[in-house]
Amino acid sequence: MSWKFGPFTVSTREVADIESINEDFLSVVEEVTGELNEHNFVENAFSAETDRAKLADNVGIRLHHMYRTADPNVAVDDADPVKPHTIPVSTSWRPLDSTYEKLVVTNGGDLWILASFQVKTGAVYGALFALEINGTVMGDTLVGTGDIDNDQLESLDIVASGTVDFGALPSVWLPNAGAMVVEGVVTVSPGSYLIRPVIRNPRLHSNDVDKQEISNQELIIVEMR
Amino acid sequence: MPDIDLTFLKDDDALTAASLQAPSTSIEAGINGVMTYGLREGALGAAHVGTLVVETGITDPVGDATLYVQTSTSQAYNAGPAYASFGADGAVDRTPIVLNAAGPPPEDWLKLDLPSVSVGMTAGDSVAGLLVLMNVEWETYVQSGAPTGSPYRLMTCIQIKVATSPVTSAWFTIDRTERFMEPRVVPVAAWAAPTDTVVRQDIPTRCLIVPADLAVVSPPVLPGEPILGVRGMVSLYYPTGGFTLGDIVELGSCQMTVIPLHAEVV
Repeated sequence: MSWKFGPFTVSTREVADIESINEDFLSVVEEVTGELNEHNFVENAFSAETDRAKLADNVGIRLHHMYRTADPNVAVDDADPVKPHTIPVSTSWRPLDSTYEKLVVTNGGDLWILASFQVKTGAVYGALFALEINGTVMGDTLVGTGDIDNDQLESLDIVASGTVDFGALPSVWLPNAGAMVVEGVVTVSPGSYLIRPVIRNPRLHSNDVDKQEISNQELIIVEMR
Repeated sequence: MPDIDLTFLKDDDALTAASLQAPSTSIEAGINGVMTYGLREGALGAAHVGTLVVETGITDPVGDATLYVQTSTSQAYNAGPAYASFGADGAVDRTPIVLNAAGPPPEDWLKLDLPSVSVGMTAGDSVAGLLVLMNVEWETYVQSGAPTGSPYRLMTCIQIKVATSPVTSAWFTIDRTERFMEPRVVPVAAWAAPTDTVVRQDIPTRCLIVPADLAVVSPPVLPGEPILGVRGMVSLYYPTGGFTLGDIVELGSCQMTVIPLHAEVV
């Protein structure tokens, strides 16, 4: 409902009609009992805790949420939910983890998607991350790089000859540990949407095959209706 | 009487003050006491999202009573006490020894005090969760000089303060927010001190604090127990074991935002 006005106006030069008066009342009553919407309330109408408690949980926002807690500093075990999992190296987009996704069934609206996770990536081939919705990669959420000229890793610098230069620090080979957040806002129509972060390696290198890992991970989708 | 029980006027009713007042009174009561089902699902929509970002009535550091935002300025730390273990609580996970005595004490580094917010839609505050957005800028791997200690990764995490008995106001790590960043050194930076090992990396973390996070703290607290604060922590992790004091780590501007949300958790 938007703003509501009675359909009939009682005029001084007309006989008051009971039918019209009933219609005037009814039009308002129908809307109050279940059809109120954002037009009927002033800004911050329910900001007080006591007022807000009267609102349904899903009156404006739904939170879709999943997470996995896994110690990043223990050995990989793909079968153990509390340990890091392998991310196979791939030049195509692929999921970060088999359960790192959320199915959202919505009546439509804006989705604010936030994926926050801990990864270790191989040093040679770089990595790109993005959000994927129903198989479509959202290009405007893409982060990461495959350009190692601009993104040198001190633990595994690449010199001109293409060999690995173990720099002054650290002195041992370490996968590149990193914290990533991939986020974006998308407007969707009514339907169901499988949302997940994905990874792609721009290049492959035999020294680094399957040395990518994902551990702590969280996916938050704020559905604003 | 929140529901509107409208009695229609009949054809042979007299239009009197009383007969006209009855439906008006009924509507007045209904509008002044709209029930939950008076607003259909999604009724408030994007236009009223601000309404559903819960104000909890405190004065926060930047004077915005709805979003809780804390920003820290540049701080330098000794590469001191190292990361202890996964999910360790309290100050164990926190490294910093503040070198700048004029700066804020470590416990005020990146912290927001909340006025006792109970998380969970049935917990009384109508807050489904606390959406936390934290960014830590790692500025220099080693400040002023070549690295002398063991190679390390910078660790960050988010903690919540919960009142427990007999312990009061204990800080608990949200284990899944532990992040470890390896340095990517900027090769040449004219704007940096020539002796600094500059990294300038952002360590981002996003987290939704929900009632389940209270169930796993030790000693356990009941769901709905108020959360009294949220803070960011840093530490140094030495993957090769052991560490050497002496290097100075510098963090740039850091920011943490806490958004309490009235929502349905799916």
